[in-house]
Amino acid sequence: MNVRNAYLIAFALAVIIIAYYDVHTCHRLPWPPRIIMTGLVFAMLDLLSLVSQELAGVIAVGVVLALIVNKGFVCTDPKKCCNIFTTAATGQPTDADIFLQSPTPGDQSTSTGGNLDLNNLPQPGPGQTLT
Amino acid sequence: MIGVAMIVVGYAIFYWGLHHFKGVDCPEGGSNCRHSLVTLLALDKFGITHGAPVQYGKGS
Repeated sequence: MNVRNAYLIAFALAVIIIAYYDVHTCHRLPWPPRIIMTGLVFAMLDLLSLVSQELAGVIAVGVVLALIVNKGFVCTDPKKCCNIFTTAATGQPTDADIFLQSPTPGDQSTSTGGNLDLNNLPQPGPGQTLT
Repeated sequence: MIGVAMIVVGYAIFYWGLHHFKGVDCPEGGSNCRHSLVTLLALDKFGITHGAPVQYGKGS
């Protein structure tokens, strides 16, 4: 494999990672200057490879790995740049959080099995009849 | 290499054009989402400033 193609492949990988996390996490298109700057980084690494091929290769691999590990360096702060809603941002737990919570003694029902309170049944909805 | 550069510049122009339409990837309504092509091509990072946006309205 040609070394120049390796830098192109690394750039394509970086763009794919950035685009994936922008679309997947923030539901938005990737910001074009990020892609242009990423291309500039790999172009400079291509130039650096004329001086030291090993160092440029290691840096290129490091950049791609850093993008993978840090999930594309996508900002997930809803107040600044990404309109995703998390539990920390809204202060309200989602259904998944409630479902995953283990019941505490205070949350547990006090009714015992078999003792059905007939005065506290849910009201039937429209079109439903109690039989 | 030139092909890749053309794809990247083309994507920036596509992004610029996309954000000139109301309701497309712009829930605020259009005016807050418009970006300069100079910004999208990252030319402002190299000292090139963008001018005032062109606005068309009734009677203009």
